[in-house]
Amino acid sequence: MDTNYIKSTIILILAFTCNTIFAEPLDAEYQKLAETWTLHANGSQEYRRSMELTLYTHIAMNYTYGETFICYNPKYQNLKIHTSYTKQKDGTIIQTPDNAFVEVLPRNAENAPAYNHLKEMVIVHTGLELGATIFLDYSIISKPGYLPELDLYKEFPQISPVKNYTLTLSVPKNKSVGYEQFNFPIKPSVSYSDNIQQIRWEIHNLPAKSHAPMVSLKDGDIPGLLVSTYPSAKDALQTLYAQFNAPKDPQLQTVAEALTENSKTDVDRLHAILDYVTNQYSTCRLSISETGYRLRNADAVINSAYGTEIEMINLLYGLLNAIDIDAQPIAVYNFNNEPKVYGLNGIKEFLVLAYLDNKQYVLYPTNKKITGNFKDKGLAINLCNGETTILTPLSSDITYQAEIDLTSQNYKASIASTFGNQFTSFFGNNIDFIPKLSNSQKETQNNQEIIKGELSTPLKEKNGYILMSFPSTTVSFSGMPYASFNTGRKENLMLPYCPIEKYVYTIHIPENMDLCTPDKEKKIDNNVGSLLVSINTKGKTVKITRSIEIKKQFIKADDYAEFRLLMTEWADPNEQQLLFKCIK
Amino acid sequence: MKYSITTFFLFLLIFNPINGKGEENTFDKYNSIILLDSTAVSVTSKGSGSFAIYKKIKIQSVAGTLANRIIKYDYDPLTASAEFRTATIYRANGDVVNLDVTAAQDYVAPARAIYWGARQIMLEAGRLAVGDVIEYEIAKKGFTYALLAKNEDDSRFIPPMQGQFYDIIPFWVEQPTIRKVYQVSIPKEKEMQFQFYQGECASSMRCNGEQNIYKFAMDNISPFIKEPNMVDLFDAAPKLMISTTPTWKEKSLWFYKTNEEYGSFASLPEAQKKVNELIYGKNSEMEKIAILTHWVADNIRYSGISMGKGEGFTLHNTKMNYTDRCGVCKDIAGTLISFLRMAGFEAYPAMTMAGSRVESIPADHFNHCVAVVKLSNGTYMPLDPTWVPFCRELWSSAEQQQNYLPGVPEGSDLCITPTSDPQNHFVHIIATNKLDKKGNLKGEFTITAEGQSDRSVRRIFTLGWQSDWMSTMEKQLLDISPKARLLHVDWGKNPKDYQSGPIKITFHYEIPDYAFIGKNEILFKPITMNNLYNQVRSYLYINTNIIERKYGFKDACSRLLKLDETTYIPKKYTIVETKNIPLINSSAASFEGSILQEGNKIVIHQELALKKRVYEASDWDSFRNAVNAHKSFEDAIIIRK
Repeated sequence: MDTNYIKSTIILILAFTCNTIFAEPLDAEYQKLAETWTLHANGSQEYRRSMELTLYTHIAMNYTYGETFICYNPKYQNLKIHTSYTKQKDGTIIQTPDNAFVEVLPRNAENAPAYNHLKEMVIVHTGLELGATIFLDYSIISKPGYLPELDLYKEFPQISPVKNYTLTLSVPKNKSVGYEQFNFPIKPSVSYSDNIQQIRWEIHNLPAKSHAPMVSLKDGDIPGLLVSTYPSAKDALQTLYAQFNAPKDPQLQTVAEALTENSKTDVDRLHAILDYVTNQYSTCRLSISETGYRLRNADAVINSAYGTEIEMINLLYGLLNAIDIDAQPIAVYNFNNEPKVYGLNGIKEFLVLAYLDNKQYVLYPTNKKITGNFKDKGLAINLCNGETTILTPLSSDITYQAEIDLTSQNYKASIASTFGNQFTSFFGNNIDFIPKLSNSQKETQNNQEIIKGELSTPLKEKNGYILMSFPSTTVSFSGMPYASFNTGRKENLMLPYCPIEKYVYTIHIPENMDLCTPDKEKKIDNNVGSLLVSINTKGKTVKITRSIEIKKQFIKADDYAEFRLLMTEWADPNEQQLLFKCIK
Repeated sequence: MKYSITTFFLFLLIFNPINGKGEENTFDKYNSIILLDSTAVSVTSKGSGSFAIYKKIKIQSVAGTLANRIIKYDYDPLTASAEFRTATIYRANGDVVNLDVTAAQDYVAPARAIYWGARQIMLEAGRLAVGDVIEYEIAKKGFTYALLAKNEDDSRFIPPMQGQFYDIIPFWVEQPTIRKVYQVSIPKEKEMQFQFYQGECASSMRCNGEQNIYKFAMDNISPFIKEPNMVDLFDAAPKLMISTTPTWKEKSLWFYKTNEEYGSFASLPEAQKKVNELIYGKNSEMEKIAILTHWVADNIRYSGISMGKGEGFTLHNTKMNYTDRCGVCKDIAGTLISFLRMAGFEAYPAMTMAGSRVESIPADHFNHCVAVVKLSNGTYMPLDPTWVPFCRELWSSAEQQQNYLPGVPEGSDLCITPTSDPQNHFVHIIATNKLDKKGNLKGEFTITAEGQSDRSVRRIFTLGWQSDWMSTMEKQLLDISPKARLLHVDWGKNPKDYQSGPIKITFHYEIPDYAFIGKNEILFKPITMNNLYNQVRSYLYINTNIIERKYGFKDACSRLLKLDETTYIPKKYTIVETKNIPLINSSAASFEGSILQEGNKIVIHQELALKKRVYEASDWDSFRNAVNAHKSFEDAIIIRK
């Protein structure tokens, strides 16, 4: 067992048990939160949520918990409010009035006529004051056949801590149900009665969700639960895949052939189809659970010019498949390792993988500028067969050499640089790696983009001094936000990739200028990576080398200080400029 | 509506963009052109309007096809109804598709914060192609809107100010428009005032039997070119205002009467108990007004549920407000009026327009509701509980220079709020630092702030999560340098208590390698000019590189910024350039500042006063000069041996 897992588990146990001892001041607190998922023998399901939430501060009362939003599909689901009231600090009960239950269209269903029947019940909690407790208990009851299986993925932490949190599953005894616990050790109690199997977790003193950036379940910091009655990943994914257009759909074939009529190579054809799918459709943000795991066929999507994520995956995959481009629709999950059970709610996103000339193309139907696979994606599974798919690792190396001629008015730099295919999009429409580059030449070799060109940048003299900043690239790791993160961090941190970057600047200083920056060499070599910044002057030439290598993609909380040291040095503006004096 | 997949080939036309003809040529770069935008209104003697809204749009790009794949229209079911009459697509290849208007969807619109059941009608046009033309007509009936079924009860469409009709018609466009027409047919006995502002249109009035027909039209309208931070388009772009109400005083009287008759401000025993508790021990009228205003501001949260008939223009009554503890601006204002009356004051509601000017023509150009209280000297004082939560102000200075109309028993003309002295919103940073030869900086600074500046600096304590207080304080330093270390911060005993006086926070910190080290030189930026508390310096979000402005512009609030920074430098170092900008002063802004060396200290002083919230275009030079003079202090200071 991973030592990090053990550590996380110990921390979480301590957090659960000792929260009241080391409690931070509370903005709000769930006295009780109970969620129950029931699968009945006839296939109908009930989700019930009951809460008692006490508000202590204005951010909680005025801006966070004033309303509860519940989305459902009235065609197949019935929303039942069991109780809804506020108990004020002095014990006065304010029942939620009828006009505080307002049904509206969910924002995600906006501009999507096919999903216009969905509803969002807004419950406006009346009578709120500091010290008041909101009591709300409701069920969403789904008709048999609407939800294919019992399928839930739950990250536990709420915005505020929970004193007593219970999660209960209730399924017919003869129905096989599996679950996977993430980052929490509490065992459930299992009971049987009247042909019903009940599994129940009780969690006490669950801390609030962390406000630190980039905290996730897959990095070991958030406790969660995956529950499913699907027998396998393939069975779960088949729910979606069975609704895809049939392979070699003749209508899609017609469309694909028309789109690729003038394409000479397979790559051109792939590009033409991706271009069509990404540019000629609006995206509907409804998730698969919001649409009841249903999707419209490609014909309906084409004619309506919009689609949900999974509908657009069907269209893109179908068009590629129609012209014999080897492609796979892929589900990417919120966790890294293969769990014991699979459902559909654990899916984070969908993409299409295409293979041409031994190259893997990672394609999104909504954005063709997204480049390859960042390595922190998560578990990837093929929708067609339920098999795990490997996303090809990409290079994230950057080398950058600049030969710079300086005058007191400007500098002219001749730049030769290479960028790993981590940064390059598949069809040459890269973002501007080096802005304002002139006479640029670009070519792709060995999975790297080679960019050469010239830069001319004006310099400003003030009081006989010139401060010159080094040219750089827009995709440098220094552009990542890590240097501005807080100094302390209790959680792990997964980087999108491990950067290896090296910049060498050779600057030729004219006779009428002197370099005021002294030579130096700053080296850091620690557990997480290494960094070098050196300035070396020989006569009227100065050579600056800046390099960084991060060896660990997964930064454990214990390593955070060393990681941050590297990041703050790398982002330090003083290390990215030289001072010159003009000689009159 | 269903299409065969063969219609797919129609959209391949995108690869063959069709050029427009005549006037359309100059508009080719746009995603679509509005060929005709026409609204015809027929007003009844009771003031309700029947509107025929017609649009014809030519699609010119793929983005244009996506923007028009559905046709959507908003309406308020309490006061209006709407339906599609016709919708037709003229395909670029000559085909004509009549959309089935009975397939239109009519549903409650997505909503946040205001839950009054506003609805939308939507018709799906589906996949369009470049070169297609789409036309549709909507019939709408209501206060300001139109038409429809004959046999239904029309009482809900009669405007609350019965017999009166008004409308506010923007004549600026987002897509180029070949022709825009607004026509209103009104019974002869009604006298209608109108004015076209900030532009010209062709206008006419014709008599037609018992009706007078007014028509306003503009041709070949280009999209309005906005300037950053400019005043609202209503204050700069072409617009038409019409109204049958003779004066603002009549509107004021109507507003007074409506809420009094409904009983919006009737006393309530449990609310009276709260009022008594709040004003206990408060002796002066201002103390009482302040405590009541702030209790309402902080404790009646913004979330509007509907009272049914009358919603939108009637203030909820005390019972509903005090029980629900929520509402929109009018209900929050209504609670305050009830509270003030229960405390013995004379108080009334007022309508206002946050964001733009209200013209002298009494069209209801309002989007916000506030309160006025009569002081013992007989004058009315405006109060806005919706805009002053966790701020010591009673009228938010983010609403300076704003028109409002009190609904008082004697009637009122349109009023305007004054500018607020920058001193009322000062932010003052005093920093003392010590810089060593290696470039390390150690020091402390204290920030104090008042008014709207106080609100911004204090926000993390009043409306932030308590668990984020410390990390937010550290972030202020990390904005200066990622290497900064927060050694200690003192935010006082209870920084949530905004009533206790101006916020004061003191930071103690060190920043390794802060300065740039040369062989004989040290360069450093004043920390007070290095991203410190930028959130309170709203003027930084106004681009002062712009040389000229055609339109007025806005800042968040008037403000006084005072920066005093002293840096102890290593011995034997001398500043390369001192700086002294004597007072530059105008009615819009002023600035003075200096960077001096006093022994081993570099002393920086700056004082920037920005005197308004809404500025005229003619204020731009003086505003810009003052802010740019202040920004020149951002440059690194060079000291050398």
